Amino acid sequence: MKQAGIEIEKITVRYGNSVPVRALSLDVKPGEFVSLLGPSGCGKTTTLRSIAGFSDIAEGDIRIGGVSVRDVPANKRNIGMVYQDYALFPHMSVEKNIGFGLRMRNVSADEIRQRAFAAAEQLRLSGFLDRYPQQLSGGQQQRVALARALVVRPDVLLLDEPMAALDKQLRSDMQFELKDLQKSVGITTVFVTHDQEEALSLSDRIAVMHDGKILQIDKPDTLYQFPATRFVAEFVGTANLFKAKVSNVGGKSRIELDGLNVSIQLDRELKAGEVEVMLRPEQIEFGNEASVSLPVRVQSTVFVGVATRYQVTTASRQVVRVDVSGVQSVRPATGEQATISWRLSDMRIYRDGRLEP
Amino acid sequence: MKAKLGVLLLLLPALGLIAGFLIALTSVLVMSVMDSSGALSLESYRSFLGDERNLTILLQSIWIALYVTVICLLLGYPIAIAMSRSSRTVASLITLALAIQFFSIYVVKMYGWMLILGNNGVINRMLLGSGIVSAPVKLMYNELGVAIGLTAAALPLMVFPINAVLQTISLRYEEAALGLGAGRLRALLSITLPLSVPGILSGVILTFVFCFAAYLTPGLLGGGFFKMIGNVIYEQAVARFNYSFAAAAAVITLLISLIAIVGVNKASQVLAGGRQ
Amino acid sequence: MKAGAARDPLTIAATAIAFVTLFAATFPLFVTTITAFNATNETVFPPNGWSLRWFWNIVAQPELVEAAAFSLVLAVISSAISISLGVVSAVALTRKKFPGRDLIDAFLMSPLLVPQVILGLSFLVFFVRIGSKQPFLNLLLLHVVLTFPYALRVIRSSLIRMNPKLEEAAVGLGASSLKSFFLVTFPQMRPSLFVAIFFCFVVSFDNFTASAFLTVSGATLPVQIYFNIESSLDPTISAISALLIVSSAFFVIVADRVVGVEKIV
Ligand SMILES: Nc1ncnc2c1ncn2[C@@H]1O[C@H](COP(=O)(O)OP(=O)(O)O)[C@@H](O)[C@H]1O
Ligand SMILES: [Mg+2]
Repeated sequence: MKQAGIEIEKITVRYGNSVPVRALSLDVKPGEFVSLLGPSGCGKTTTLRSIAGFSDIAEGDIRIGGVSVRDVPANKRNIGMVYQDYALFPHMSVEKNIGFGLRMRNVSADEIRQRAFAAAEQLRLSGFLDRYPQQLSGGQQQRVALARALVVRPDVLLLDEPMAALDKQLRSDMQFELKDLQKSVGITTVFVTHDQEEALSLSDRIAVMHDGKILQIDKPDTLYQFPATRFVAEFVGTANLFKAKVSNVGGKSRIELDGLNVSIQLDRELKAGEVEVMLRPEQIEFGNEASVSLPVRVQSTVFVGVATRYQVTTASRQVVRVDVSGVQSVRPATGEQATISWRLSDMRIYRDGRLEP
Repeated sequence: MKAKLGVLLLLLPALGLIAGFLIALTSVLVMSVMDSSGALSLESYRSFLGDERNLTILLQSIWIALYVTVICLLLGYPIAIAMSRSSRTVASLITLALAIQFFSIYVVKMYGWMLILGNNGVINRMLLGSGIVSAPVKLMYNELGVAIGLTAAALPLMVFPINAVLQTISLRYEEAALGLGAGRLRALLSITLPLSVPGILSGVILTFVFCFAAYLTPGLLGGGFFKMIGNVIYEQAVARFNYSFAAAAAVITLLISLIAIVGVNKASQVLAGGRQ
Repeated sequence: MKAGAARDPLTIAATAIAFVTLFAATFPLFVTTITAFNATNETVFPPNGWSLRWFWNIVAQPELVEAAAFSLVLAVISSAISISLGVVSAVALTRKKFPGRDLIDAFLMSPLLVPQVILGLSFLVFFVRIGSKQPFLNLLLLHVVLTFPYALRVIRSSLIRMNPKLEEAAVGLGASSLKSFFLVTFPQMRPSLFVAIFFCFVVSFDNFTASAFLTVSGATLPVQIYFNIESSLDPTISAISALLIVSSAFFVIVADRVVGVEKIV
């Protein structure tokens, strides 16, 4: 399969007074799987629709396979798109749905049949070719939508929250299936979701969006461990944030957590001033083995399968979330006093919402 | 049990009203098979169907209703598309214009067309004034005038149901078709048009039945020179007190309307194919 | 999406057809209104000079004024009856489940399936047979039959769209079911009641075909106008027509402001 990259250069989309996409740039490498992740209304769908040619871009340019598509209408862009509600044609059988794109490309009837059968086989739909969309389950409908998009051998695959309508078990099955399919076909894919777990598990890279802009684009582990902004830290994964002050004494920086009698000696130099300290729940443990420790009272616990999530409160009444996994043995009970601690290297420091290097 | 009884009580007045209507309707049926002395007889049907003039009027009523329905569909479908697919301002402007036309008094609308089509009407004054013709062109008191009047009166009956269905068809379908390489026209013909068939069918039924059984429009714009079955029924009943004959004509009209309704519904089931 | 679709050639072509067709369809209304201002007794467009005399002439024709008053009273009373029946029947049909419900619904809507001439003839024959000599009551019954299905359809569809859990929630909070109807359901029905009143009034006031069978004397306004057109074409007809055109356009625009025009089409 021919692989085409997508280069989005400072595009802006306007609808009357609202500007859902603002000077957004994004490069997707050939064969790469990139997710657009962000809260509802941040402009993910609009960005995707600009790539597909359904939203007019007021400024900027989009290139697919190095060629500008600004003036190419949607039906000439050779793009495969899967919608959240799949948009399967209700008056056409599964076979007709899958073959639609080929019919529009004036492929011969024989070849349409052959390729529709092959696509159906690949997506385990062989037994359903004569059915109508409303006679299929949600998972089957989604596979038809995928088959319909892929059978025309598009340059890029665009998926707009395709898992949103599925229940949890089916969703995780389909995630694996989608990932396998994408790798085996090798197609450049842009995937829109507001579900961070989904983005983390599927993507080569994730672009976190907010207010029509991309805040950060990185590999999932980098994004999780080094969120570039406080917004990303809070949107991807769970973030414990402490307000704090940096002071410099004799070339060394110290951080004091507000309202708590904790002073942390840093191994690097920072500018003095107000900051926020961010920690992931699984980076905090009970006991005082790690370098920074803090007395707390256990408020509640929730068992979430792989771990137990504790809500504890500090002396300043701030709630801190702590994840204790199966291998850890220290497990205080609700109402007890305890000590939490963490390693200096796990701390992320944000000044005015941006990560301190 | 008590709740059921309550429902029945609530529905009773309406049920009584519509039962009264059905009794009135039945009295037409009964009247149609009675002769002047009140005995059972098919005389009225015989005299209706035996008179070539009546058959001609019946056939030309069916024919004009058929082609006016086709004209309304050809004009109405684009209007419905414009109402459901153009920008909000344009769409509501069109809807408002159509609503104002639809809700103005029927007899006034037809009177307006007389002022346009008459010998001293707008069109003939223009034609005469510019010297294109030397004598007025006959635009009404004939089939043409009736067809124009029926088209104007029935157009909203075609547009509204099609628009209602188009409004419910997600734009995603057309968009998905474009994304798969279809041009605008092909997306319309292969996606939007088939999905709007239910609206087209109810528009067709409403328009056909309305035109076929029209009385006011052929009365004014046909002016006695072009008659439809509705005029026959009215004249026989109101001017000649020939209730039995009028009833027979009405029963035949009702039957043809019902055949059209059932036929169109059957056609829709065939079109829907294996989907249901 | 809509903005994007609006600019494609197909929608533009459809919009052009719509504008041309609607211009043609509304042009006679415009012409009628203008001819009402003719100075002479020729009903022509453009007018041979201007005057308001034909409007004054309406008042000089008592049968027109009487017919207008008659139609107005008929429309108000028949609408009131139809709306009351419509609310009660819609509530019964929507809120309670019972066997044969759809059948009853179809039964109640059946007058809509019957062409107007046949409706008119039915009532004529029926009243002749029972020997009813009450022109107003006869017409009233006809008009209630004509308007009731519209009232039922509009009100019922609004009730179907309404969340029945709301009324349940009110009962759960301690309201009696009658109270919860008036405090929760009824306020939500208001737009549909407005639409139903609009429909019933227009259907009754505008009705010509069925009514013509029952009004040898004591004519409704449309029937009276029809007879006047048949007997002579003087601009008085244009004058009364102009008043009717302007007032129905006014009511459509009011309805558009109150509930949105798409609700009444
Ligand atoms: N066709 C449109 N017309 C006007 N505003 C729109 C349109 N489509 C989207 N928007 C606005 O753009 C913003 C972003 O929408 P969208 O891209 O759908 O967000 P997301 O997919 O991230 O939830 C929203 O505020 C939405 O209201
Ligand atoms: Mg979206």
